[in-house]
Amino acid sequence: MHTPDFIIDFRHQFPFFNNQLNSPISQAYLDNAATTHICQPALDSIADYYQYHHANVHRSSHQLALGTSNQFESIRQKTADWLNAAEKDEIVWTKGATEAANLIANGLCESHLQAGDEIIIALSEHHAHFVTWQQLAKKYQLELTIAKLDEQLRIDLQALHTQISDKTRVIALAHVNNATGVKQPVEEIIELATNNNIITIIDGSQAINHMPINVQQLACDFYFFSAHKMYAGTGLGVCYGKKSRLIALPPYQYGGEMVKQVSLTESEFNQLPYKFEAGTPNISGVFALGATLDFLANQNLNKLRAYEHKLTEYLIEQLKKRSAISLLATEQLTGAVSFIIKDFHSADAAELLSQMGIAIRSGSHCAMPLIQSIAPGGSLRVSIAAYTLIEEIDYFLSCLDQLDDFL
Amino acid sequence: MKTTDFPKHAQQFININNWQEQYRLLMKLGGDSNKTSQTDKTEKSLVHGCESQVWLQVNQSGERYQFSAISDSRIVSGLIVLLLEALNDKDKTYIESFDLNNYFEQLGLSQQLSQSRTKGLCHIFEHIKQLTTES
Ligand SMILES: Cc1ncc(COP(=O)(O)O)c(C=O)c1O
Repeated sequence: MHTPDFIIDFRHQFPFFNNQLNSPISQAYLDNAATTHICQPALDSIADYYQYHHANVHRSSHQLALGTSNQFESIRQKTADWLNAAEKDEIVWTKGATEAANLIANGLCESHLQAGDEIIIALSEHHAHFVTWQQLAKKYQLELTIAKLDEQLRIDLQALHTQISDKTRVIALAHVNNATGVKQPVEEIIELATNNNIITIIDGSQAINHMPINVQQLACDFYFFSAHKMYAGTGLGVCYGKKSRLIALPPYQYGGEMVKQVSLTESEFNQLPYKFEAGTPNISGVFALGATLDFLANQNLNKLRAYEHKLTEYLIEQLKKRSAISLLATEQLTGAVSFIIKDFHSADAAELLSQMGIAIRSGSHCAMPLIQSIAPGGSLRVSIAAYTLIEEIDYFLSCLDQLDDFL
Repeated sequence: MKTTDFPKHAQQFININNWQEQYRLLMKLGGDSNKTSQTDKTEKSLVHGCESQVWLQVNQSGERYQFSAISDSRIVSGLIVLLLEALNDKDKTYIESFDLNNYFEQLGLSQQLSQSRTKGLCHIFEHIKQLTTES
């Protein structure tokens, strides 16, 4: 099998790979779930912003600042359209998925939740979501219920039915799990939650780069992710919230731009979404995301995603052929495959593979509660993006086969 | 330490000059050590704060210390073999003044190891020093 030309063309848009297009392949970047490489248009837009448009947003009224503010807001609109949010004010910029998780959870604790209320969170959550709710549950005396997983590490819907009680207020879960690559049945869960008046918070960090997201169709209350997982830059997160939900949340941080009126004793907070955006935001990061969305809009995304799917299937099939390898899950895998190798600690395998030029992640992938329960020595995670070459997967597999030599 | 003063496995390690053989040796030392080691894997002997799990125990006879330690990672167990080889049967003064970085540098390990591995080993060494001051 060879990588199709349209993928090679797509990959050419990522400067990181420019110096390694030569064959034979001697390295493979397969850690895209940790972060994806930045696309050239995003990189250009950062330089362009600082060179020609650098000004603070929503503050000064000179021409430069107005232009930059308008562009900044047009990207908010573009992001809302990308997610099919009803309004641009439903998009709040944060510094990442982690801050979004904290903003939502803290806000709900302060405004909506009372001691004794129940939060359901999946065993498979990233620490960004899991630890946040675990700690806030302690602080606000909430009950934390852990949603169970089935054999394929998908949330057990039947068990979830029985776990929901009249005290359940929030269900927090990832669309796709970072440690396993498993896509969760979020549609069914959101429907179940909504029927029971439960707020849903979906962590889309591992879904955003691999599938179209339509928040109105999902009908979740909150959806968040980091821009650096979808070919844009670090330090920017997107936090979507239904307008009514965001209005009900108190501010997360205090400072400039999030206030309307300030007297010595009182402050009146700004409207949505600015009340959540205290301080100078990551303007260049927003510009980079805007350029990334334009870039992606010009791609044949269906074709790219079909390729990703084929690549994942190929990887699963190849791994299954190797008797020393056990996959943590094999169904509904999206962008990542997680496995263990018999007789190998995950850190040892990853270290040896790293010597051979393979970049993958090992350990518990910021999801200790899950990984320690199913793979105490940690797992190895291969994660792909649309620019991943079939030849990279083949190189990885050939390196994997050399591990035996070290036993 | 003169080159000729290196303990057995360390000397073996120094004589190798490609990463494949280095890692093969580490994996072998670690694997053998994990099979034969008497180290108890208890909560008490667990060294917290390492990437992989490490268990460490100490025995004292007179002025001298004997350590035994293993890890669920074979590479780490192998590194521990190299470390303990240099520290076992030594007294407190020697252990306290032992230059870990220099030792690994001389073995040619410094460039090979990741930051987190090096940090993990420093952590184990700190733990060893602490055990000698406690006893
Ligand atoms: C599912 C999931 N949630 C949250 C995060 C946290 O993202 P960030 O570190 O960019 O805030 C990640 C990143 O690994 C993730 O995979």
